[in-house]
Amino acid sequence: MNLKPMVRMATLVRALSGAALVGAAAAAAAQSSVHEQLNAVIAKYAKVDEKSMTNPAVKAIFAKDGFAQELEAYPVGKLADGFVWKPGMGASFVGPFSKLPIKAPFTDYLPLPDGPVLDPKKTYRIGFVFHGFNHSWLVSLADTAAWEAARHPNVQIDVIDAQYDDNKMAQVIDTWVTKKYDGIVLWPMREAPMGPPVDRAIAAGIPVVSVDRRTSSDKVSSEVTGNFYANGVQQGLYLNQALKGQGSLVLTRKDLGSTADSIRAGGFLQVIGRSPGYKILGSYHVNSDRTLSFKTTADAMQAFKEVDAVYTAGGEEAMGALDAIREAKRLNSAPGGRKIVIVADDDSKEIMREIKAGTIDMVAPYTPLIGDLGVRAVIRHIGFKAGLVKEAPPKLILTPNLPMITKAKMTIEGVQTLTPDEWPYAFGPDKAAAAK
Amino acid sequence: MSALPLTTHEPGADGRPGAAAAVLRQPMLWLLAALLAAGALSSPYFLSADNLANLLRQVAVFGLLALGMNLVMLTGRIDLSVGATMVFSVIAAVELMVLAGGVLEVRMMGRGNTYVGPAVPVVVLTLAMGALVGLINGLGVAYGRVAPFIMTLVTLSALRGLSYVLSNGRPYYLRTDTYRWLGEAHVGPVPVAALVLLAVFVVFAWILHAHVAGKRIYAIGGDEKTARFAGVRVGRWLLAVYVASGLCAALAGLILTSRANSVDAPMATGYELSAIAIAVLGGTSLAGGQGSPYRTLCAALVFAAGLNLLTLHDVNAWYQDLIIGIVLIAAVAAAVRLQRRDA
Amino acid sequence: METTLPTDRRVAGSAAAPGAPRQQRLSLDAVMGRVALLVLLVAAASALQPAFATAENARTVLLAVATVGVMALGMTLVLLAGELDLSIGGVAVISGVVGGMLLRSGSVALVVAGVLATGVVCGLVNGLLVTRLRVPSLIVTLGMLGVLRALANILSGGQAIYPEGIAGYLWFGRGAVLGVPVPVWVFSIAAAAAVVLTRHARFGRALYAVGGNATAAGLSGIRVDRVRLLVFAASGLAAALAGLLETARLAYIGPAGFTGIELSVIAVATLGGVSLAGGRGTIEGTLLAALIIGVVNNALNIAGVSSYVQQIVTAAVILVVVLPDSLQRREREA
Repeated sequence: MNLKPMVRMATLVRALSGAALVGAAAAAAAQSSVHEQLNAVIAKYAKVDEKSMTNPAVKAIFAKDGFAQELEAYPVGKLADGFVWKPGMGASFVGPFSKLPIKAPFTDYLPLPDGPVLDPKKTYRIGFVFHGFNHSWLVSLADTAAWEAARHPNVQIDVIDAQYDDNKMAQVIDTWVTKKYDGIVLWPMREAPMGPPVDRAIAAGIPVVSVDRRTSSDKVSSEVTGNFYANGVQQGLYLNQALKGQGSLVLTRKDLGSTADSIRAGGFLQVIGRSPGYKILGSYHVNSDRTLSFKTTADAMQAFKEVDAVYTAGGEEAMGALDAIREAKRLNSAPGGRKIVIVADDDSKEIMREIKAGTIDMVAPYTPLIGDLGVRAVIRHIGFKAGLVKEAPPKLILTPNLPMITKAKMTIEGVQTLTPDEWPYAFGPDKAAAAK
Repeated sequence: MSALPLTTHEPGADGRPGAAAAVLRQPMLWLLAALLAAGALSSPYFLSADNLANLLRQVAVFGLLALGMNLVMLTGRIDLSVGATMVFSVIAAVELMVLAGGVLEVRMMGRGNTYVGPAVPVVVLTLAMGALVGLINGLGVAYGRVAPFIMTLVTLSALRGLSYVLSNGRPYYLRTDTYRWLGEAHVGPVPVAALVLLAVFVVFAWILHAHVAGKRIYAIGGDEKTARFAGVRVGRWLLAVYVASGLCAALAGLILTSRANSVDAPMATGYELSAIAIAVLGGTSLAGGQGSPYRTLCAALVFAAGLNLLTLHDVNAWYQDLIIGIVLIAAVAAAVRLQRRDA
Repeated sequence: METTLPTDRRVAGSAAAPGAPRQQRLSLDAVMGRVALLVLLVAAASALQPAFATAENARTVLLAVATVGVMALGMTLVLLAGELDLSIGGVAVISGVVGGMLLRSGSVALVVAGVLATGVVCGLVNGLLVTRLRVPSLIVTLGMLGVLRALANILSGGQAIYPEGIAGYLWFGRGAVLGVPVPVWVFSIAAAAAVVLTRHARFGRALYAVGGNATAAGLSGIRVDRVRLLVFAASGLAAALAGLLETARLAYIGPAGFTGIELSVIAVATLGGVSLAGGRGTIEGTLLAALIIGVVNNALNIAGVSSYVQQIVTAAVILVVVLPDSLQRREREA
């Protein structure tokens, strides 16, 4: 066996990872307070309301879709236990369901060591219910939850897909209450219908933690929330930088009435609302559906011949929109022969490739890799209830705001962006690898 | 075997003697017994009061939809709009109350989309809206002579869209004790929702077996041409069954939203197909003239018990779907075989 | 001698007597009416939205129509025979997944063959369950829908597959021949084949006969069950083909795709004048209906109308078109 190429390879790998570590450390130093920085930016734009918006089109959408109420209610604040997050932190493993390599960013947040938890003689049964076992974002969420449970031999987790039926999710939770499970973690698709089953579980003495989206229950033990606000705001920041307050926009949004739509689109509009030079050509709801986003964007490309930017609210929609723009050969059809600016959310590996290729300009990460946090939180709640843990986790467990990712590094309103190579947390299947 | 059954079937007994014997001969009943046994043996929680109550609540929702569907199918028609009607009727009722509140200068909607007005009018209006949808369906099918599949598909589409448009995609919270009573209250160990189902079942069973309406409905399903020549006002009866189906859907919607303390546009997606499956499972023929509320109720119990069992055992959703699909086809195939053997 | 099942076949009540010529004569009026509607819609859309009336937009509309259109062709054949196929979404997904698994062979021919073969097999399973077990097609295909989607999830592990590296695969969705996109070519060829099939002396007559009155058809010597098997196989093939076109266009094979498409496709067929009772309707009518829906959706998108309102509008369009037809008919419809 010829060892020479392997030795060369090993040296190369060591050199590269060394360089990456140095790069990450430098980035880390600059962004030790990324969460706080983004909070400050959010605070600045949260003050923008209908009255202060000078752009009539933006104002109209903002008013009609009632964002103000929900933006006000969305949790923004400090991280629990004074946790400080730096890019590069977190554990790497293979997703138990997706079998894909994962680096989960927040495994040091509210940490729990490997091995048995709480009372080692007891087996703790935890139920994790969500939707969409065949949706890459959601599977990654389930992956991290299952991984966390697997770290503790006396924790048994049941991962159940309620297939986008809120009534079914309620049934699953009610069944776990009957079976006297020790803890429940859920990903609620819609807030309102999930309140009562959570209340019932709490009334039965079972701690419940929601992850990402919220429920309408005020009795829930903890809520692990994502960073929708930072998403929308950063998309707006990038657009302002790229278009300097002038240009025609097409909006492809999440489903009407969802938190994802209200906070992302709401935050985005707050940032661009005081620039009268923006024109909103169309505002569409493509409901996280790649095909719908494709078809709608294709039609929009026909309707509007001069588009400067397309706002998309999720990974699937962004890919659908991008593919439609490419099919119509309109990627570089913005006035002045420039490229249509595309801003997106969800840091999937697919999107990372497009950022590197320069087709999608910016993505604000919204990581699904927070299931483990939910499981650790519920374990701590169980322990607190049993008197084995001194302090219960806070009701609101905010996940760190994540900086946007752009092809070239830049600083926008004091926030330094990361390049795709500096972002090890992208989720989902990787295109080139899959196409073998 | 002729293609056109020329005799109307004796409701419930299918031409066989002995009502009691007939009641016990249903394959659905045996399947139910088997499921209950399997549940009791495989899980200590299956027969617990809590679990049975949960089960009964699910039976209530799906059973109501299936009873209404059964009625429509007895005339040889179908109603695809029931799922959408469930949600739309509640949303429309709340909107109407808000409108009325605007006129009467009474505040009906509180902070955070919480309905703070009186609950009873909402219940009444919901039922009225359900009946209205049924009326529209019935008019289209009976007098417009639009194929029922198309007519109710049209209403399904329109109602789903309207639900989003009217509510702007936001849920309405319905948290008053009065409203929650339907979905959450108990009489002893039995949920009120199940009692509502039982009541509706009794009414439908009476109408179909003891009232002349039953004869008319079975006649229309059995041989419409002959029924028409015999003077049966087919149009009126079609309106009646569709209105009944709409009412059942509205009632199911009330129970569902009562338990969820809210109404949300995406709720109950696809429930119409479940209702059809349950009715067919219960021996209701798509062509009309065959089927009974009793068997539909049994089938609804089987459906809910089966799902409950799968949930209790935390069966992966994909395998659940596989099982449900295969069981559906197998169960109907078995029923068809039994029918042919007895015919 | 093959007899019909009383349950499912009764779905129409007394339908028109079998015999293709009468159906086709009646259908001519229906077709002309729809042509007029299409022309009217195109004119209105062009007048209200200048962006609508461009060659490029026409291309966009045709591309969007291709997928649903191909499926509607298969559905029309099934409906003409008096059956129903609710499983097409499941067929599209699982044949896509099978194709995805074959991608590593590197051979586009193998992949495409796998996709289409899966579709045909699924269709034959549907057909066999209907003809052998005598279970109504609504139930069979409803059950199969659940089964096929579940199998697609299980086989793919819930993971999407990217056919990116295989240029030949993407050509089906992104390629063009003589300036016309491949999906439009495929749709046109499939449509032509379907027209030939329905107008072909022997098969066409048999198809309409079976749909019109299966017992009489059987008594006249037509192999009723064979006709049924054929139409289900055709529908499965069409669903797989449509799946190929769409996944190639999006370069994405997702196990969660095509949700709810069966009702849209049935809506297109019924808008085209195909009767759910069987024995009435034409491929030409379906094609027009697909174009009508495509034009309406495209025009509404261009006008910025929300997708929720579009649902309401589409429903209204269907009702408005179907109502005059049904009011004319004297027999009861199912």
